[in-house]
Amino acid sequence: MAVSADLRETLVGLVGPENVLTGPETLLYAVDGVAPKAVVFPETRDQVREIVRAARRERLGVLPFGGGTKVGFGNPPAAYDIAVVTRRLNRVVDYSPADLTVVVEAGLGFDRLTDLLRREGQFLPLDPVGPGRSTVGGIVAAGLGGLRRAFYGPPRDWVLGVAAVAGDGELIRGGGRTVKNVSGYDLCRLLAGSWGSLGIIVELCFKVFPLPPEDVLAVLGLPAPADLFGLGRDVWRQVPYPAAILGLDAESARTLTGRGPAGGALLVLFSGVRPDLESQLSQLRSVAGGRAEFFEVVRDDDLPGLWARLCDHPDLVGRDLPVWVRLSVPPAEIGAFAPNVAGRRFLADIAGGIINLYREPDDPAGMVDLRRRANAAGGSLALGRAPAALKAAFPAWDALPAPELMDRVKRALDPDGILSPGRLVR
Amino acid sequence: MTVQIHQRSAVLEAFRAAGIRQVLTDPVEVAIFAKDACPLDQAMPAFVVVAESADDVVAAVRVCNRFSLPFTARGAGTGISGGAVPVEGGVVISLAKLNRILEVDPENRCAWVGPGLVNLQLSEHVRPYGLHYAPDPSSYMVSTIGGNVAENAGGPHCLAYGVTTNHILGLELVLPTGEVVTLGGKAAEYPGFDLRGLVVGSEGTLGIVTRVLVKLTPNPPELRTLLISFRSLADAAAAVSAVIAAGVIPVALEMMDRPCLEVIEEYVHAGYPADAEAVLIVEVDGLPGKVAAEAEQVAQIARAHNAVEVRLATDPEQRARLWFGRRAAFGAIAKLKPNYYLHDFVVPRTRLVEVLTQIRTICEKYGFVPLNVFHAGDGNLHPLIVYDYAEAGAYERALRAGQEIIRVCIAAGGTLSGEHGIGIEKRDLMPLVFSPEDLAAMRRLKRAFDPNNLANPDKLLPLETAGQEAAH
Ligand SMILES: Cc1cc2nc3c(=O)[nH]c(=O)nc-3n(C[C@H](O)[C@H](O)[C@H](O)COP(=O)(O)OP(=O)(O)OC[C@H]3O[C@@H](n4cnc5c(N)ncnc54)[C@H](O)[C@@H]3O)c2cc1C
Repeated sequence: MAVSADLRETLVGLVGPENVLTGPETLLYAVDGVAPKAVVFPETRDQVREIVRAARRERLGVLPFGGGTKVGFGNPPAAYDIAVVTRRLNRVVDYSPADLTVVVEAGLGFDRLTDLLRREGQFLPLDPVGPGRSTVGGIVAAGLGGLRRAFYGPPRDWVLGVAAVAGDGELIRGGGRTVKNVSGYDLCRLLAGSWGSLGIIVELCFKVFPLPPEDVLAVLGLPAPADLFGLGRDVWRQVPYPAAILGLDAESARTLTGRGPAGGALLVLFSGVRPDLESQLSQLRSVAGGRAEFFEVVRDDDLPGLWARLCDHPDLVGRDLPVWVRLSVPPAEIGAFAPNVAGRRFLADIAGGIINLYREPDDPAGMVDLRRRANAAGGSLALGRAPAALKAAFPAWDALPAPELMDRVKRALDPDGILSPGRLVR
Repeated sequence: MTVQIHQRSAVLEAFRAAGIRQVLTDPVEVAIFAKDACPLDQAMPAFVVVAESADDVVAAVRVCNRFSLPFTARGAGTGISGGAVPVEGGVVISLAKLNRILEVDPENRCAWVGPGLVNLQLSEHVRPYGLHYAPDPSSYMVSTIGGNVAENAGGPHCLAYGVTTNHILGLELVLPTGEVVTLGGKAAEYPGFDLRGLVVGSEGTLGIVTRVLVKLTPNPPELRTLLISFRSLADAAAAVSAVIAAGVIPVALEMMDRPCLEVIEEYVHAGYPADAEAVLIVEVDGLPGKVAAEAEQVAQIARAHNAVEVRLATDPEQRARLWFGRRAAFGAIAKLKPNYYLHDFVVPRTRLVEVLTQIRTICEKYGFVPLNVFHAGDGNLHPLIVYDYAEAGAYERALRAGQEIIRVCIAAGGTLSGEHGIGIEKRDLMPLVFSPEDLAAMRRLKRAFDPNNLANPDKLLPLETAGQEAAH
């Protein structure tokens, strides 16, 4: 799409010509097949503010863009003129290990933050998809729980402070740098999971956590797929403090773990001190009993690589499959969805009630039915990616609860509706 | 916004017609709804609606809209920032009778409860399932889940488990305009903005919560409590920082200083060491190996910071004894002088020593000895000033000391409130930590929920002066 000379000129004036793309490279930032007219790479929050103000004057649609790992979520943008890529907003503003807090800019890569924290024996248990590409701002804006969500909580529980440029071009801040805070409305939680619809997050203060002394991952191979969720729930009920309980289909188990159990694999992570880990593993063995055909323990140097591959599930488990369905149900209901994943590729967080299902865009009627059943069970179904044709027929999100209120909240922070228009709300 | 006399009967009639059975108007009866536990403010409501169902709440809110009457939700009235103080001549909607446990779902580790349910009763009710509700404000024997949600309450055990908002999965909210919405639920992810998260901590200004879905936490297999005494406050505070820095996150890490210990000993005889300048209560929980290792680590760190005594409790009875004085602290303090002013700030944990020293200096300047009993592990300070209102100028001095303390905390990178909220008490201090743009955004959010500005108005945000209205 051609870009008006004016827009280009404005943006170049704000960030310099080397930080504006208007040519074919904009295709790299396409969302649902639509490329933006311009891609900007601001380096400061003031630049972000000026960009949003310029866009607001012209009523242009703006999408914040981090690492692009979750860009498939949401409905096609109603207007997509400018991609604001946060990658150059990547400074570590303040890290105070003794306070267990870190303040960073939103475009910082999760892997870089992880390295920084690891040097002090700390971490942030978010397990984002595509850990090598995710930015902290994108992780919070999406708000998706990671693989250890049931144990450590979703991203919103780790955000202590936020700064964002709202749709009116003002910088707004919520929270602070202390681990506890009830001063004013909780803008941190409002922005977490807002998918770029309320503001462009520019800075975050996170609570961080000491790394556990040791992690072990038990990999259980199942002879038949029917028992996977059932066994996972039994483990959740009977073995104390699992840090994660994951289920994988047979083929994914083979690609990721190198073993090929016919019924898929149950993966159980424990974190703590050696004597506890040994007792947890032995309790796990007795719960599994004869229901697992093999029981392998991955630890030490073998674990981080496998864990990173698991976090990369959209690319690895979902390899070559165009549709990513994210199903979230009350955890105890997950067993009822076993038939829906049978014969398909998936990674499930059994403790958290989340199934990442990968499939072909066939059978839209089946999708409608799946959504209906998820809703009936008190849960939700979102599309993590899908071809435009499917999205046209099947909304990326369920009907919003309290849609009018959501709309008013949107207008409160983005009066002209220029931020990620149409992706989540109008 | 006071109700005109001739309107009074019309309003009352409207409440009755809407099916509400209990409306108090007698000045003697409504007087107890004029204030909460904050010493600063009070205002007489014209009506107190004692809701008996969520429908009553909806009906009451609609009537308030019809007559443009401001309304204030009320739980147990233990708030300390004036949140439950009504507008003079307005309406109080009491949720105390909506105190049922509606559903316990052990398989999903959660429960739907009424907002009037008393915090402790929830944990007691779910004990047979091996579960509990983790946030335990010191007021847990009386404060309600709805009040806890509205203030995003914290408690000793929130250090490891997180404050109220981390434990609220869903809400039913009566919007200020009378519609009912359900936010969140038993699943992890729902589409749309996290309005549940926005409502928690909003002090009743975004609507009235009529049902709450709380997360329940498994009871830990093992629990150990340490009571550690120090000869200096600085040593105790340094030990707190050292424990956290060593990578141990106890479930609770509480501190009491000497003036506080003296009062506790005098009035409740908790058996705390008499000569200590500061005492820490540290609790670790989890699997046996972790608990043993952490308890040992904490004891070692304490000794390295000149602890004079480390007492360890392993069984429930011993634990209860160590906690007893801490739990009874406020009751004991109340016996010291007729009035006390309890503050609530948070500072980065690493600044504790410096801030505590400054607080003491400020208080002494105004002729007070501050008592400190607080959540040290979170850096959440609760300096307490006791005074006698009858003594000329004492109240004003207590206020002035408070204002100075706030500034010290903010200068140390802290914030206005860790768990008691802003309410009336601190609303005009909000500009100390938030910019005009931040506050304007919060105001617009308030308006998005409450276009008629009827839900607990004039709380949490600084009062608007004419012409301050941001142009939008
Ligand atoms: C001795 C003492 C110790 C305390 N210790 C702690 C502590 O350790 N941690 C802590 O966090 N707090 C503590 N507090 C403060 C207080 O107990 C908490 O703020 C508590 O959450 C208030 O609950 P409540 O039921 O008394 O609410 P109220 O005081 O009745 O109301 C508080 C606020 O909540 C609003 N509200 C009440 N119910 C609803 C509802 N259903 N929907 C919407 N809004 C509602 C009110 O309008 C008001 O703004 C303490 C107080 C005292 C007196």
